Amino acid sequence: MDDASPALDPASGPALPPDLPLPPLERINDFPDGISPMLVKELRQGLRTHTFVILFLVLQGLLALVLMTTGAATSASSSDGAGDVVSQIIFCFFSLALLVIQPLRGVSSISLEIKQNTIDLMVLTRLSAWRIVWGKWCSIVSQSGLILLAILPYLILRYFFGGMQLFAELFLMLYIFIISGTLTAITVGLSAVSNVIIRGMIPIAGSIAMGIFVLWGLTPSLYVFVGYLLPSSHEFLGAIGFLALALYIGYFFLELGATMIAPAAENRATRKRLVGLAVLTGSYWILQAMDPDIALAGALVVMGLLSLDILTERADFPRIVCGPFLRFGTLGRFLGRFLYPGYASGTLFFAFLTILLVAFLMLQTKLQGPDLQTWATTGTSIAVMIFPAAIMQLFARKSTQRFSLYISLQLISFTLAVIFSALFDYLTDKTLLWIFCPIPTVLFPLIDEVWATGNQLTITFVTWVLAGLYYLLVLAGTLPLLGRMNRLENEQLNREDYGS
Amino acid sequence: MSEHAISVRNLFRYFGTLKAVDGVSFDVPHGSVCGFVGANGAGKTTAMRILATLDYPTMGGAEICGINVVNHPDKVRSLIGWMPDHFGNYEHMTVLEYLDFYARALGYRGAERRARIEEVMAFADLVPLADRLSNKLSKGMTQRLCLGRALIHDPQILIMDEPAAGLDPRARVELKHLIRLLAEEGKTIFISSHILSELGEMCDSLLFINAGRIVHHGDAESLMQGSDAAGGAYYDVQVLGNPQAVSDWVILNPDVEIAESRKRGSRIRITVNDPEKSAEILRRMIRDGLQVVEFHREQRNLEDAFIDILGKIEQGNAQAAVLPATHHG
Repeated sequence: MDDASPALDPASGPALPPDLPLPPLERINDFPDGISPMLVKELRQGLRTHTFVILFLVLQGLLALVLMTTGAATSASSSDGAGDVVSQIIFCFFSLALLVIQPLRGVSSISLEIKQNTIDLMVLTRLSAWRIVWGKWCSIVSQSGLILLAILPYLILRYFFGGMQLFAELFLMLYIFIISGTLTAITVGLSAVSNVIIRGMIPIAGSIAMGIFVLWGLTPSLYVFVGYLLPSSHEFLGAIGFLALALYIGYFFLELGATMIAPAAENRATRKRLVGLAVLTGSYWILQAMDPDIALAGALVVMGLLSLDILTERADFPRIVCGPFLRFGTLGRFLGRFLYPGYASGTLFFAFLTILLVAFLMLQTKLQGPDLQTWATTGTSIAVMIFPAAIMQLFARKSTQRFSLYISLQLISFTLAVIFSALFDYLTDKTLLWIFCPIPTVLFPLIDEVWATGNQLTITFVTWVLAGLYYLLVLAGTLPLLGRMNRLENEQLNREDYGS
Repeated sequence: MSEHAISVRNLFRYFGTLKAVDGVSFDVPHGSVCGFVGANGAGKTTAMRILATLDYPTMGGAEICGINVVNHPDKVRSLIGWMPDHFGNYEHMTVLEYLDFYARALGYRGAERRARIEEVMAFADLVPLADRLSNKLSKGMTQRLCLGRALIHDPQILIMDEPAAGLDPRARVELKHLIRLLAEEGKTIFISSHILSELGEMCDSLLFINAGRIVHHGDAESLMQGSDAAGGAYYDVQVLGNPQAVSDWVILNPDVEIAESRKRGSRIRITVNDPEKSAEILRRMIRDGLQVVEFHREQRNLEDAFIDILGKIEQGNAQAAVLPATHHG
């Protein structure tokens, strides 16, 4: 027998061990090479998780049931409002799934990898920190996309009940899908935070609030929201602006997560700050044409987000980060003071953003006349942003959890503002608010009160003085770190120490 | 090609006031197996993480094949395979999918990806486990999977942090066999372990680290021989009777020391390796009325050597602490 195995042929010498079975390699070709490895991993895992499978099946079952019963009831009573009820039910389930459940799936996405020590194994591959976070986000959002696609037929069927704004409702569905993407980005980004309270509390509290909004806000007033999205509506541009802001918030939180897991040699700060600066400036000028107050509010939201990052980034970074800046000589060194990673350069960048906002305000004042309340509100907002950094400078300079501390202090100061505001309503004595106004959030109710009755110039002056004092306090603490940048730059230029 | 596979110079890593790595310098030649030994918290994992580009030094530097680990982490990562001391596996993912994810993440595509997976599965004997869920494996299987993952990109250097921790004897033997095969292939292996006897068998050189500092660097043989005249060997004598009387006898006689005192006797160590001198000491013991019940030759092992080194350091520290006090007093 020619094809006899040598192991079975006694004439061919000592028996050889049988060949090992081949691994079932065809099973790993379920996803093409072009898809991101992270997305492949997350989809393989995510599509098998109980949360997704149960959510998907329950949603399908409920919607089929609702449509059948409503269909039967409508044919029996020929009610005109049945179509609206179907829309409300579809949107209620869809919104709960996409705005509450799906974002919550991101809560432990990165923290679990950190806890299990698998993040190190991933970082050692060619996956950058951004691709890891992006892949995690894409996986959850693509599953949300599957839910969206599965629900579309029900919405089309609902069309036959009559009275439907088809394109506006489809647009609202897409809108909810994008907002879901933003919320998922927030939970995925925050999941890299080491503090479990911050990582869990904010998304859970947010989800509860979102659940309440869906059940008692969106569902009963569905057609008000649909109306906003009609291209003929006055609110249409605002809705688009809100969507653009949501996209930036999503990007910001994904970047935040990527920064937290990236190696120190990977400079993510420069791009993040430049993108933030571009969005702040661009959105201000675009929205200025629509409503100056909305433009300023948008700029303050972007600056608030940036502060969360630039005032809390870890201060130390290796000298290789200086390399690309030093190629531009003195200019590069100067730019590095604003764009190197860490809260030291972040403090200077914050000053730059403040000057930019002041310039915008001055221009607005020149065009539309003086508006002290806008100046006071902006001053207060800036004081609110820098206040937690000043407190950390005084009491927790060496803390390694600056991000969590910043958020905690911000939450505490907003809670105090609410308490003092309520107390003021009860006591109707302004002194209480003036005593506690060094907590900048308390200035918000104080401004409201003073504007009606008191000296507007004084309160405006107080807001800016407070912002300036807190800023100087933070700056004083970062001076040694700014000095360290000189040393790193010189080391990078000389490269005399070990290794290159 | 650089002279050394791993080269570390004046490496410091502080966590606040804690000096996890405190001025470490050493070299590991290409193709060698180097054991990294130290108690828990000695700084092994921190130093290894810096070499694996997962942490960065407070001061000093480290190179892998001549490339700085801080300045060029990406280049270093393509040269090393990293096995951490503990890690979790993914839920809902089979062994095959696990390796496939890392092969994709390392940039392998199409047939090359399949070939790399096939090779590491065959090497680490993972083929029978291909369809098993990766989080349902035993510790030994998990370590084989981790080794397979670390080998996907065929790295020149393997950095293994306590790979044998928690393994049963059979899994330990299997892992040791795989490490031997890798060493035969010419890979440089930098491995930490608590099981010193196994390291002694596998390693060309051993690095002892204590409180963030290297306290010894040499091969296992020279370490076991030690710096004493006895060349690492000694005679162990079991004696019955009043421990105080035995202790008094030891004080009066050179080349002997108390190894252990018990209620009804003591163990005495004769620290000379010469059989004739040892026989003379034994005769003296019997003549002086000590009840000798056991007498045998012992070779110092790595654990003894490690404890001796630590003992000497503690003694040195104690003297250093006393001297200034005496000086001032």
